[in-house]
Amino acid sequence: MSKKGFLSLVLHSHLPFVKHPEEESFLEENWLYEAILESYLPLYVIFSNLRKNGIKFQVTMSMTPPVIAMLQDNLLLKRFDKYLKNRIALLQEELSGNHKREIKDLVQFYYFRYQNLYRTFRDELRGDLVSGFGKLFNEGLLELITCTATHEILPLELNNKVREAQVSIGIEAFIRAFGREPRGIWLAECAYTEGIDEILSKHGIKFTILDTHGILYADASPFYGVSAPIFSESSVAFFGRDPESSKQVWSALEGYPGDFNYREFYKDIVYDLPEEVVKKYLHPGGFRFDSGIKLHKITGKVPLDQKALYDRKKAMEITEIHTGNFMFNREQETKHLLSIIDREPIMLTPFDTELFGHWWFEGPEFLESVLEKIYKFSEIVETINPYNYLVKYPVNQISQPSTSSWGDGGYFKVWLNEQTDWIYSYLHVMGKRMTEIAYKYKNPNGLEKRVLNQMARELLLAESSDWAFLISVGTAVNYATGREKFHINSFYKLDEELCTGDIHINFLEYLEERDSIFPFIDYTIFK
Amino acid sequence: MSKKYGDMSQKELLQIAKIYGIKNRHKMKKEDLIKALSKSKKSLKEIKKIEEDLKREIRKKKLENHLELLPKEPGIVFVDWQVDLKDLKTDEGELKLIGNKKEILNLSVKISEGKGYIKVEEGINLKAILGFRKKNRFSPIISSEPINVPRKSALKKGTLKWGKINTIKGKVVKKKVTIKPSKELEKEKEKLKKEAKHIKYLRYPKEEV
Repeated sequence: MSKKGFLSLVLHSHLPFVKHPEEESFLEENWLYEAILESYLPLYVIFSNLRKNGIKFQVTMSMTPPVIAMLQDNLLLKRFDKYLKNRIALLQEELSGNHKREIKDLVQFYYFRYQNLYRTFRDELRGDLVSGFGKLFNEGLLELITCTATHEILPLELNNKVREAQVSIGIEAFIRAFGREPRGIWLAECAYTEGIDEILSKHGIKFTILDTHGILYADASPFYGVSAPIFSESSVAFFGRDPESSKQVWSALEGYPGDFNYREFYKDIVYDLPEEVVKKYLHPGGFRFDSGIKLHKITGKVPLDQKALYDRKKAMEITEIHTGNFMFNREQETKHLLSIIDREPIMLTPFDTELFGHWWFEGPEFLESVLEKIYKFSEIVETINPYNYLVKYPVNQISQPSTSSWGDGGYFKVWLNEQTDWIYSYLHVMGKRMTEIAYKYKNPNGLEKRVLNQMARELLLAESSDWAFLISVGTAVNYATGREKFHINSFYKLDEELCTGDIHINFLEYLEERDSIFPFIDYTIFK
Repeated sequence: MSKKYGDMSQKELLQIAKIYGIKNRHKMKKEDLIKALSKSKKSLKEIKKIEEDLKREIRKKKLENHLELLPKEPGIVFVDWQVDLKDLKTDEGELKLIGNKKEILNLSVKISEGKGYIKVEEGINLKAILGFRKKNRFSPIISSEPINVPRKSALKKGTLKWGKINTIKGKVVKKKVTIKPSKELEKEKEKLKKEAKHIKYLRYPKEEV
C-alpha cells in the first residue's frame, strides 16, 4: 500500500452560556439558535447523509460544556423550537407575498430547508442534538472532544486549583453527555503555556491542538514541523495547525468563503421587512436582529444595497470546484511532504464549527463534498482523527510546546488589554477565595451547600473568555461587561450571605435557574 | 409572559415559579401555580432590580492583597497589584522583576495599588516581587506566580528526544536518537511560519466596504 497523507479536520463548537428565563425573549440567546439552525443541524444532516451513503470519514469535533448544557436545556430548546417555527411561518407568509419570481424561489428554498431541518430536529433527533452527535461518535465517524469548563484561557489563570477545576469539570460534563471519557481536549482559544500539559496528563487527556507556532517554536525544535505531533514530557500529544490547508478556508481574502457567488452574510431580509412583520415573527419589540434569511450573494466589493440576488445552483457549482481544488491541494501537499519526511504526514485543520453554515452558508455542503471526494477518489489522502494518528504513529518527538494561542496576533492580547485587564484581578482573588472556602466548609447544611455550589458556578461563568473577547472586538460590549460584572458581584453577594448566614433564598433560586450550568457541580472540586 | 399560563405544562410553570421565588410550589396543583404566579410579579421585580444593580458596578472595590503577573504577548507582560497598607508606614515601594532567577528590573511604585504593561525579554521565566526598602534592605511584601514570557521565535535546535506513547496507559517511554532534519524540512518550516501569519479569521467583524 502506498504512503498516504492524513487530513484531520477539527471543528470547535463553542458559545458562551446565555440563558435568560426572566425575559420572554432575549437577543443574545439567538447566538445559540443561530448556531443550531445554521451550523449544528446542517452539519448533523451532512454527517448522517455520508453515513447513510456508506462514506467513511473521520472528523474531530469539540463540544464545549456550555454548548452541551444549552443544547440540553429544556427552556432554551423550547425557545429554539419557537424561533424556528416563527421563521417557517414568516417564510410561508413571504411566499404568498407579491414578489418577483427569483425572490420567491429563494424564499421557497429557505422554506424547504428550514422545514427539513425542523423535521430532523423534532422527529429524528427528538430535540437532542447531543445524542445525535454522540451516536456518530460511537460509530467512530466523529471523534468528540471536550474543552475547559467555561472556555477559560488557561495561561491567564495562574491558580493551579482553578486550572484543574476547569479541566476536570470539562471532562465530567463530557462524560455525563456522552457516557465515556474524552481522549482529547480543545484548550480554549488553543491557549497554552508550560504546566498545562501536566494537568491534562493527570486527567487522562491524550491529545490537544495548538496553533502552528505553538509547535514550531517548541523547545526542542520540532523535527517534522507541524506534520507530526510532539509529546510533552508529561505524555500529552500536541498537534499543530497546518497553515496551508487552513488558510484556504479561513482566509477572508484568499479563502473559499469569500467567493462572490456565495451568500452574503451581512444582508438580511429583516432590514427590509415592515415593522409589524418583524414584531410578529422575529422580535416582539420590533428589534431588527438578523433572521438568518439572506437572499443575496457577496457579488463583489460593493455596498450592501448593490448586492445581487443569490443563485443557489451557481453557488453549489462553485462549492464543487472549491472542494475539488481543496482535495487537489491536499494531494499536492501530501506528495511534497512525503518527498521531504520519512513518515506519513498529518495535516490538521481546525475551524470554529460556526464557520460552516452560519458564517459561510455553503460550508456544510463544502465539508460533505470534501469528505465524499476524499473517500471515493483520493488515492493518497485519507481523513483521520488525532487519536487514530497516534495509534498509527505512537513514536513521536518529545518537546515542550511554546506559549501561544490561535487568537489574533497568536498570543493573549485579544483577552488581555486595556479594555479588559480589570477582569483578571477579580478572577484571581475570587479563585483564591473559592479554594479557601472549599476547605473551610467541611459539613455545610443543605442551603449552605447550594450557596457554595452556586458560587462555584458564578466563578466559572466569570472566567469564561467570551466576555473579554466580546469587549475587545466591540461586539455586544454592554452585554459582555454586564455579564462579567454580574457574575463577579453575584459571587461576592453569595459569599457575604454565606458568612453572615442571611441567605436571600429567592435570589439564590433565581441564580440556580438562570446560571444553571453544571447541575452536578460540587464546590469541593476547588480543594 | 405573553404565553398564557393555562397553555403551559406543570413543568414549565414550576420553572417560572422558581424564578418568581414561589414557596411550596412543588406541592401546588396547576391551578394554584397559575394563581400564585399571577400574584407574584412583585417578587420578580425585586429580583430584577438586584440583577440590574449587580450588572452596573463591581461592588467589591477593595480586594484582598494580590500581585499578579500575566503574559500578554512576546516580550510584554501585565502586572497588577493591590495591598492593604494597614501595617505599613509607607506607600512608597519597589516592584522587582526577576527573570531567569536574576533581577532584571526595579521600579519605584506605590505599594497600595498599581497596574501596567512592561516590556521584558522574550522567552524568559519571570516573577514579580513587590516590597519596600528599609534601612537599605529590600523587604518583600508579596510575590506573583512565575510565568513564561511568550517568544516570537523558534529556539535553536535542542536535543532530539523521541518517545513512544502507550495510547491506553498514556505514558511516554523516552529514547534518545540522533537524527538531523534535512535542509528541505528546515525550509518547509520557515515557509509554514510565514503562512501562519497570513491567516485572518473570519469571525472578526468584516471591514465596511
